[in-house]
Amino acid sequence: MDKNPSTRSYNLKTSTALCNLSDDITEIINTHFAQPASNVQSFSGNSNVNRRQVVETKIWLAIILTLSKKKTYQDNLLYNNWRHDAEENDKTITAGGQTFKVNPEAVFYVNEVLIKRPQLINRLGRMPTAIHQLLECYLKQSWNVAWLQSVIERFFNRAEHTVDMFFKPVADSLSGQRKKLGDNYSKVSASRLAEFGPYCLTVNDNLLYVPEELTLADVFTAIPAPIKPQDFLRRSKITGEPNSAERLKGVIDALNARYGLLVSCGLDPKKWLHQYDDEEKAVLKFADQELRQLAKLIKNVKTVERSAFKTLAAWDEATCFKTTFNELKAMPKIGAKKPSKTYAGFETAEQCYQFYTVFVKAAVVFNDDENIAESDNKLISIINMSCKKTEDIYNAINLGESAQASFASEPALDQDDAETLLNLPDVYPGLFNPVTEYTWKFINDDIENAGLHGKQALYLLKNSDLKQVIKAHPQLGYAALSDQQLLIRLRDELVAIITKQLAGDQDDQ
Amino acid sequence: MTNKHKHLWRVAQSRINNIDWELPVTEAEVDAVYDALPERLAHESIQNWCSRVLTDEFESNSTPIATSYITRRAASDGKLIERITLESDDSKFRLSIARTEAQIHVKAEALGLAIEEYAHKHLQITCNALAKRYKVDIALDDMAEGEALVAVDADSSLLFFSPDTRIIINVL
Repeated sequence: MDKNPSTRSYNLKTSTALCNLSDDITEIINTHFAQPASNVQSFSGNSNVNRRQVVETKIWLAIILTLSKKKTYQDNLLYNNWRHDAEENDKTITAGGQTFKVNPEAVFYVNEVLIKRPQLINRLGRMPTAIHQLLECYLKQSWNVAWLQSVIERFFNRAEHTVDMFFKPVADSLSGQRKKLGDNYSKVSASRLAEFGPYCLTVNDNLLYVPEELTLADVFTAIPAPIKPQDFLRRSKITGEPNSAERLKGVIDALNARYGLLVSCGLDPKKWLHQYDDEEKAVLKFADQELRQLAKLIKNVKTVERSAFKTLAAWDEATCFKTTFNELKAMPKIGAKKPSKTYAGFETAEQCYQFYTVFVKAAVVFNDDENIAESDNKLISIINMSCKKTEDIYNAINLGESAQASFASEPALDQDDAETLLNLPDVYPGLFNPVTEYTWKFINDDIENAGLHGKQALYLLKNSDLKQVIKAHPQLGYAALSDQQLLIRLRDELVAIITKQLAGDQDDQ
Repeated sequence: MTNKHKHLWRVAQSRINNIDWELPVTEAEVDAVYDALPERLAHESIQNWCSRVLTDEFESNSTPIATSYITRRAASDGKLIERITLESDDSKFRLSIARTEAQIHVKAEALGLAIEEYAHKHLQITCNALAKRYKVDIALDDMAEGEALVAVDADSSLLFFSPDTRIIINVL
């Protein structure tokens, strides 16, 4: 079970998108920093500072292009302001005879979420942060076996010294980052530093002070290339030491927490991402806890609304909103004797509802050049939940219910069920052709290890005999398709088979 | 259909929905886009580069936070100047300019109190005659220093070596 309070609010779609992002970034890291054993000598990634900067720039560019390209990120991760046609806001770049789209939200996400410097929180004590652990994980993946001894721990009274040549490029990079950070770290970091000493990277006789707070960009800059090709997230229960993709997923979860909460509340992160600051009390801003409360409030209201809609019961949003607000506000927080004076940052239900109508619903509904009648129609359609995207936003939070494990998404099948599932094409032979049957079996075979479940379909192309099966059956017309067309056709055909079966079953009833 | 089969069809449906069916961006595609974009400047943070080259916001928000000028009145003696150091009228910036055969190397440094004020800021150097079509971007580092290499052509020569040009340094 995912015990991290900052991630447990996401529903499955968001969690899957974050898993995909971790895998996509791991693949990008592999492309630029990893080499197979046979090719290690020919790689000279660390030898030239300018080349290194080009590589790092390409890594972030690749991440932005990936976020801009894949629909899963548009639908399940990035804030989607559907007042405007998202396509219109995309910047297009023509290169190599192709047109690439850059989604401004993807650029914002990289700049303000992924490259944000995460701050230390209290409960870590002297433990390294998730991002320090990620750095240690990448260091250990170097082809230079000496890096296997890497440890990042807080120590007092240890002096920095570089003995070995292999240590120097990484030491220079991290020292530069430490100098750049100066003392601009959080108060918690400062107190931990005073209590337990600085983070020290120790590799055999080499020792270096690591910056108190690191960004993902800092970590990528310090990777001692070439590293071994990195594995992807394991979708089954993780045993033993997490791999780099799993460490990365933990870091991305933490970085995404506030952004995800804002999206869950229907608030534009561009306006609301910045943290509540004591010095700016006059400006309306939310602490994370207040956002969690607001999201819970919206979810509860929508649940009542949905049930009223189903039962055709009388429904008044303002009354329901205010009643729900007062109920939630009256509940004392865990460990507190009295309820607090505010809920979601508001003292009264009226203030909160006013905020909701202006900043959440109005931002969702009203377009600058629309007249009021059109806007009203849109509002009605959203209230009636015929607007799918709005539904998704309100469903994107799962507060107050049991936490979702990051990787699990379905009840475990016993051996018999798994085998029956695998062999459904044999039970319904008329539904499948040899290619869809092969794909079905690849997807459902040995789910814990080789299966495609929750992963990228790219592996189907890379790691299976699909192309040979296609070649053996030219009459089916798969051979002429591009890789992407092929995957989409296979997906559509499998979905159609399943939909037909499930629909047929309903007809029978 | 048995209930068991129905359950299994649904499991398969969920698996298929959870697969990421879209292919990632390839290395060749990233290389092509990278080559089509303006270069990342020395000392330019990745965030600034992304904003500058991948969004339209940078251009539209690029109202300078400060502007300095370098006014030169010395007449040219007709010789080709190869190296020159100029200081802005308000003593906030120094430009050290050196010409080689094909390139001009421009180093910008903030001076005195301006160092702290302008560290990590972005400079655009231009002049009135060129503002619309030519400007030199320089990202300043933590010591408020930065440099750029530009090709020798009519525009760059006019900007940096013509004694009549009043150089404009915009801080973004």
